[in-house]
Amino acid sequence: MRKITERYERNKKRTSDSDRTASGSSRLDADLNANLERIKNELGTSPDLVIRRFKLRLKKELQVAAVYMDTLTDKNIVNDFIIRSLMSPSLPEPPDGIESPEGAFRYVCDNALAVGQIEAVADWPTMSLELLTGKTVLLVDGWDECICGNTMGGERRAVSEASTQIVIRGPKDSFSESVATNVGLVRRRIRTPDFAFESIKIGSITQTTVVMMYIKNIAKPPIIDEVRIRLRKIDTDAILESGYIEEFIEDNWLSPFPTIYNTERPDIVAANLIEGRIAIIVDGTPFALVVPTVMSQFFTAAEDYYQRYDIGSFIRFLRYVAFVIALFGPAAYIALTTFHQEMLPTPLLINLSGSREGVPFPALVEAFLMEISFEILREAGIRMPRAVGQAVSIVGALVLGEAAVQAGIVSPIMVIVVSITAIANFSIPSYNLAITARLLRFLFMLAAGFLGFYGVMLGLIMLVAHMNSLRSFGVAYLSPLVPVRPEQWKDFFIRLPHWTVRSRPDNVAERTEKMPSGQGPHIDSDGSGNAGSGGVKP
Amino acid sequence: MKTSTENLGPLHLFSWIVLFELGSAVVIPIGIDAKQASWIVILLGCGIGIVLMAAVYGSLYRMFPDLSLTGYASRIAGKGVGWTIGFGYLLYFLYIAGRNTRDFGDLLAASSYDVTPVFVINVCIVVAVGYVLHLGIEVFGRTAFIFFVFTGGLFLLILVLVMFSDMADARRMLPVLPDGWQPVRKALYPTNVTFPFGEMIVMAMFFPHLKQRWKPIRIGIWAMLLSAALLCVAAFVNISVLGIEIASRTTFPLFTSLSRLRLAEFVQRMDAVVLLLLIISSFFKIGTFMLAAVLVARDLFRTDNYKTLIFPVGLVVIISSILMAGSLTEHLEEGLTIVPYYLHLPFQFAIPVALLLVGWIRRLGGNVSS
Repeated sequence: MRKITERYERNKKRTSDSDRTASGSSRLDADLNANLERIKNELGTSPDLVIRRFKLRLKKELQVAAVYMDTLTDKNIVNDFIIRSLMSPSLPEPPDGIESPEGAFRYVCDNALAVGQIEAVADWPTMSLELLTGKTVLLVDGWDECICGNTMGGERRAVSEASTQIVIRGPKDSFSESVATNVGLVRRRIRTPDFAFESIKIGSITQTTVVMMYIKNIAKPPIIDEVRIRLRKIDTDAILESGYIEEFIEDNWLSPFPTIYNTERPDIVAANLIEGRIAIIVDGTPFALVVPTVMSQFFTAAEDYYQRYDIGSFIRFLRYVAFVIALFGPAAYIALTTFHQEMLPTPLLINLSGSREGVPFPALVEAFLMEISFEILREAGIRMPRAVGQAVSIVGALVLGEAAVQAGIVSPIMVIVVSITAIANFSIPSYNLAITARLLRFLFMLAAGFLGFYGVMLGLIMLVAHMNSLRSFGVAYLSPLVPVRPEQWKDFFIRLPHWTVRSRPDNVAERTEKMPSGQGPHIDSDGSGNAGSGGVKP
Repeated sequence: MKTSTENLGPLHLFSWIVLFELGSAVVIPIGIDAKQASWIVILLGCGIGIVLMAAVYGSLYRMFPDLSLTGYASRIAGKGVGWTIGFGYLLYFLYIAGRNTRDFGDLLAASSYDVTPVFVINVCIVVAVGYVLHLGIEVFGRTAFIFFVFTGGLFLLILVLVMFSDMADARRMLPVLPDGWQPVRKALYPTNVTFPFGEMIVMAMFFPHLKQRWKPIRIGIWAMLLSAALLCVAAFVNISVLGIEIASRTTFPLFTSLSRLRLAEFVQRMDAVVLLLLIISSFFKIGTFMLAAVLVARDLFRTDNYKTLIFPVGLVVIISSILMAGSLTEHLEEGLTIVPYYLHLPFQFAIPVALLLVGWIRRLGGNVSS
């Protein structure tokens, strides 16, 4: 170890000797060679660093170098719009004063580049950051500024179909890992000049671009400020996914409930923005965050709004039922079989105890056994390579189903309970709330195992109280249920037709009117059409 | 006592009061000594409670809208006497919280937890109450609202069951006054003027927390009317399903009557509904008294953060709930003969009336500013 340390110290001394010549000021040098030397030193032996030197033939010959990172740039743009356009003979007539390096620099800046977005930078750290985000840096000999041209590109995933929030009817595109693409996907849906973006870089090492989006005049300014403040307060080394941001800005980190919504669907983000919410897009992940969040959002799927309202309402209501089953299914089974047998109708009770005959465990242990093995199975199924996943599900079905019952370890009714609970859990449209239900289910099972329905009821009261105490950026988590906002119930447990929902949630949005009160469904001019639908004026 | 951070909404206070009034009263038969006239006892008790509320607690509240009970006690009666009165209320609330906890534990043990120790039942509910109180008054009110809706659903279910099953016979409610007015008067005084409607005195601790521009007294009166109606429904269900003989003899008639009701061979043994009612309403009743005790203690001992007091108050409630009586019989005997005369009547009637009178006199003299 000592040898290694000594060698390291020696090497460090040598490199720092060579560094001393290059580094130093935070500004660019006027000398092209010195700048290039310093770039090479700082970026080390990175194999994707490309330095292309060439001569610019204006009235006088000028040394120019284009520097870019091969892997982060779109090579076509670099070649076509920067290098070729500089070398092309059809450049406009050079004006006077072109002989001086500054004149040449201004001329190149103004006339000679065919790329969309350029800026002049004199600051060394900014330049190296620009270089590392995929821009091409153009250095001119004899002048201490450089031109950064936007040539960002490189390998990235194309926009593909959403993999976590699937719809039968509705747009199929989803976010990708590039923040520019993602912003574009939302921008394409909302064509208003009020659409505002604020971009900040978070992460001292990763320098991740985080974009905050909202619609001016609809989003509430205090909430916008709060989001901005919380984002600015983040001081960490790395942001690799929006989950990092979520944990830094969420209101209550002790709660099992998610208080920030995430989605990979641009249509959901657009809908939320129009409701007055604020979206946060993080570079490098397809999952955008949406704040402020209320609980009912997690029961909402994009498709509710695309299918007709009766179907949408039914399905949404079903999800709430599923959530209750996912939370209380096994707990109710335990409570009934261990504490409250007298509550069951006699035939059912006989049936139950008959099937439980020979099971060597109390119901609590039986339920824990099955639930835990199911959770393990599910986890195994998710992380496994697809080919192995099939084998997992076959083995799992055998273990959880037939074999366990035949071996007499669990009762067949327990298998039914576990399966229904699991399926109910899958039908919650948002994964992070489904995980909450999974966690809390075990607590309720314990409560039921020790105190029956009394324990479950106490747990439920505490759970509801806890949910009442939650807030997301100042908005009560259970609203519009508590505090009561009946005007928002049109889009809560059920979804009424679009023309009935005339206002945005007033605890989220600044401007709430969505449509004039005269807006209603189509009615035939003779009045025989949709009779009975209210709110329609001729 | 002016807290702007924690505000109760009107609906939340309303549901809170309803659940509070239903607490244990919905399971223990009220005024069943008066036989078929028990609904008259309930309504009269409610009427007296409303008069007390509007005339005494209401006047005191109007005199000092920003102050709670302990606040205006010391404002009216002076620092020393006021502090003593406040301390008396602290003990009163603590005792009643302990009593309710004990009631609840015994009820639960008798109804379906016969092998679970009462101590365990009591500890669990006090811990749960403590957790919810820790989240604040506002959260307590909001939670009450959700469970009020839940309770409403349960009552609706009971009503549907009674109406559509052939077990209930409304003629069992007759005659209206089987033995004349004498039993009604007996049932009313002292037990049912003080319980459950006289216990509204505890709400005087929370009125200042109601959002501005809402009138707590009016909300309280409507909530009392609704809870009286619900209690009458319970009395009606008991007597019409069981008949007065069985209803007056069983300990928990609502359990018994709901276990008899059945609908379409499938809906039966609905006594679970009563269990849920009992747990919910008792939770909010114990919570209310504990919260009141915590707030009184905060005012008396000048603590900034009342949440630090939840633990000691909870501890006192648990221990006193176990130690206050050796047996269930002793507990009930105390509750029927001692508590109404020596605790309820002074703390619900005498002291507030005295405070009001002194307040009026001193206001006439111009000594008290609100």
